[in-house]
Amino acid sequence: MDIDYEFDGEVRRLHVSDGDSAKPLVVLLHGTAGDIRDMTDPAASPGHNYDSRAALRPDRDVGWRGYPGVGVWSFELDGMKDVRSWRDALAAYGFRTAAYSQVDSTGFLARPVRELATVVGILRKNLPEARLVLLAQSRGGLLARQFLKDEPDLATRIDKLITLHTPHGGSELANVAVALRAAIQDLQQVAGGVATTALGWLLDIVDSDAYKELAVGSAFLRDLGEDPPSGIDCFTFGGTSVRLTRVLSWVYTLSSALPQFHWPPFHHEITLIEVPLVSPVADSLPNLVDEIANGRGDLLTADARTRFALAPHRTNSINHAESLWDLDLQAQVLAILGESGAFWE
Amino acid sequence: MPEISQRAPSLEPLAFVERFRRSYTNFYRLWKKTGAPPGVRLQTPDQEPIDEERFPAPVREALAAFRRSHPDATITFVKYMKTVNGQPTVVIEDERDLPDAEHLLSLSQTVATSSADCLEVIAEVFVARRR
Repeated sequence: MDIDYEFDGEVRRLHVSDGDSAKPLVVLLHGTAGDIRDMTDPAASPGHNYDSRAALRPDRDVGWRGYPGVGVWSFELDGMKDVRSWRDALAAYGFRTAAYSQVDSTGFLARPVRELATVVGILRKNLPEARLVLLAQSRGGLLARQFLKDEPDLATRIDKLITLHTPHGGSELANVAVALRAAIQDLQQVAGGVATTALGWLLDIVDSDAYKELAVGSAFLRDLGEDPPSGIDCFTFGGTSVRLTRVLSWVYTLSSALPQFHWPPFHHEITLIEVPLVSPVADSLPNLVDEIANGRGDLLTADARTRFALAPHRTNSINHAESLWDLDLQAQVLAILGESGAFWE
Repeated sequence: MPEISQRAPSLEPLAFVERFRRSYTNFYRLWKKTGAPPGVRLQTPDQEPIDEERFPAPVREALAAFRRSHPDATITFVKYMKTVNGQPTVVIEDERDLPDAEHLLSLSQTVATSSADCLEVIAEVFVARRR
């Protein structure tokens, strides 16, 4: 069911999927620079669903040439793998979901908070029996908390708030944006355009108003405070992997440089290797802050800062984007929603 | 990181020698039937002995190094090919096939010239039987 609504003079659309009306309806809130696809089709956007643990492809025969094959043939990143969105994961268990693209996804949170109030109001009106769960990724968790703080009257049907890799304590990445840019440019020196493909989005996010608003110690976070919303069970998840993709290079085999008694004399073959020092990204970035330190962060948030008040917290060894499709994480959230084993015990 | 994923390109000697043998073409036999392409000088070792003294210095040095590490080896050169930008210009061989892998020795040199108006790759391959 699609519900059109007007917000600040603009017609926007809320997508509500069918499901078991006895179960809560899950409102899906995406993060900074995202849109509805983050929660419904993450392979399309934001992407980053690299298959970084796939076996390397076998050597390739390029054919016979008149000159020796030496050095690098090409650079590339890992291929993409199929992933399951939050909407599909929840639908598989009969949960209805509501998803939409937030206004100002790279701007300040003020308007997205008012928009969420509009969306919740629409859900209360159209589905008056529905209990709600807010499932929020990244900045979506702060959006939810600000909404719950500003609109307590609208929150009466909300049972749970589950945040995925939300920087409740802020992010220090915005504070090191200049150094981060320099580090990524160093990678570009070695690996060329693929480094931009792999990490350019990170710079775009860090440079956005949205991210500056989330800097550790920002006025926004101070005003938001640390009090949990009353009457709502909160759960938080964080990640500690900064591995995104390997930087791979096809290079000529040594035999490609050796002439044989053949016309033409050089038989070119290329083999795929992982580029030393720069791969995998972003493991190879300097540990400027916990957000990009393997074992402590997920590329955009530090696990320690994804905790909120005394909410139960779970840490997974996944990166920020993987929180949009990781199967273990989905199972853990489904357990909170009562769909499998008692995960929190 | 998995060691295999960052492996440097390596080459197993016997595997290369076997590949060398598999890809080998006997141009003497081929061109006796079809005629040698224009610009190719085809000779047999009897007509034009493959004389080590005329080898390029780096090849002579490589050969000397091989002899030092294999002092009992007797080495007889049986085939030679020179290509320019992949096209053969000189081939010296007769109807005999390559030595088997255990007795095959090949040395080669590739020299390249590149400038704004010139790109030339000269490769020379010297094939010997070792006993």
